[in-house]
Amino acid sequence: MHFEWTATYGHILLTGLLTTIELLLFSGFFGFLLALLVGFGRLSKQPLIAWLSLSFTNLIRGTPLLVQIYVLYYGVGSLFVGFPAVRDSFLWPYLREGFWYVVVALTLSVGGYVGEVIKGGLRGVPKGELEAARALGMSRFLMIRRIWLPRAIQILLPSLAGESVGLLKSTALASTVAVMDVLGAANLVRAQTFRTYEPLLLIAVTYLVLALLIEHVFRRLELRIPVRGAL
Amino acid sequence: MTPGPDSARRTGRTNKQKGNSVPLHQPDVASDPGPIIDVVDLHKQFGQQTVLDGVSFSAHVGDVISLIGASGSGKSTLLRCLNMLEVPNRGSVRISGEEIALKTNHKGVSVPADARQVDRIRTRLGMVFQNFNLWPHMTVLENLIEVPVRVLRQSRAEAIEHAEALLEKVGLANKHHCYPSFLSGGQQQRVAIARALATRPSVMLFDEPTSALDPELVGEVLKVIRDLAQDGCTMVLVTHEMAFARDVSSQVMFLHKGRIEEAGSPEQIFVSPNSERCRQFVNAQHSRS
Repeated sequence: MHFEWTATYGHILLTGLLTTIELLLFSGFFGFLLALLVGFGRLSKQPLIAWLSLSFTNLIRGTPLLVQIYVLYYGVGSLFVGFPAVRDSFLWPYLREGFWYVVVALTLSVGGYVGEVIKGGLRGVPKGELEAARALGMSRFLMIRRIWLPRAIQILLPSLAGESVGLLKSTALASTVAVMDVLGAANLVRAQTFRTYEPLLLIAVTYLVLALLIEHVFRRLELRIPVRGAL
Repeated sequence: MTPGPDSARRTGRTNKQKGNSVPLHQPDVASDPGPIIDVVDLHKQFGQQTVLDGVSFSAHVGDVISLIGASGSGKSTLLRCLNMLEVPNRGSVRISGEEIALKTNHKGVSVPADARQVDRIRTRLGMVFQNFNLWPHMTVLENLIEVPVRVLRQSRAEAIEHAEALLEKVGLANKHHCYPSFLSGGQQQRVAIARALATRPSVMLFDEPTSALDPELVGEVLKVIRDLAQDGCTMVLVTHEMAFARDVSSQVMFLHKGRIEEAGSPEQIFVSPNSERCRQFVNAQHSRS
């Protein structure tokens, strides 16, 4: 094992790490917002909204994430190239980069998967707690914001930790559309130094540490509200 | 008429607000001796089943009205119609003289015409449920100040002060920072009563408040309700605790098949009911306990 290449390529790996974390945070944030819409949409009494949410979930969960990224990057992305209006717009620097296509793909993916999880959590909150909120004078919106959603998230924290780690690992797909995330950086090192295992092992440990960090954060959140019978 | 928590509430608010011109929710009961609750000809169906079949009654300040009857007689539904947790198909509900406006939606279902009116009226009706329904992600104190702060826009300090006083009253002053799951059923129900009182309601609604409790915990909850009754709190109570109903009520209503079969003083209902069904029910409850 030789790691002397880290002296030369360390900064590339660090930049890659930053990109991976950015992908995680952006798609985690936007994906969660989308998941809330999908989760509530799945429970909607309006048939159209419920159907749209279900169709979206099925579409996202029924197709490989890699295919979704390709469709967005090569499909939608190459359509943009054909429009001078888009090429000349201030958005073009972003639309040229693979980064934002991956963020969009991951956001949609989180929306589909976590939306279904959130639906389950919303259903898991005892109806009586919601009824008490309404009976004491809360509007429906306030009840959702103060009771229903916080309770669902409380119930779901362990699942959300799992989904977040899953999202972290999904960000590695960004390297397939030339985004220099951690894996992308490792591939670069591999190509230029002909060292195969060391860079891969190093980033495997990096992902592992990030995953443990995510688990730790969620564990802290879970412990904020003590529940009898839980550890 | 006993001076109820209503009058206490008014003086309390006036002191704190120091001439603030924020209008109070209720009309002044002293100058308006009308009923706090006035229900006329309430009908409610669930699908094909008729649960309420023309119920009318009214409650005045200081009244303690117990609803008794077999399961399925409609007593819980009647209580839940008072704050529109169930919307009656027909009939009217007036709270402190204000009629809750209803309309028929496009599916032909009866719904409140103005959700905000219902929300506003609900803050005047404190409700206590069979299963407590505390919010487990909040501490006891947070449960109590949630609606006063978020809905009634009281200052946090004012809401906390009132909440602490209420916890003192229900004997749980030392539990304010506990989460509900660490409390016994009896303690949770006492917190739920304090939570319902936190909005300074003009009426308290109790829906079988001791039915989910272990027998040894029933007493502590009944004691709190009894104290409230003695303070002059107006309340409507659905209960299976006959001895308690007889003890605290100013009026008892016996429901049968969605109708008020008999209503009267506790003595009348429990000692010399006119209705044969009422007599049978009361005797059966007697021999059980």
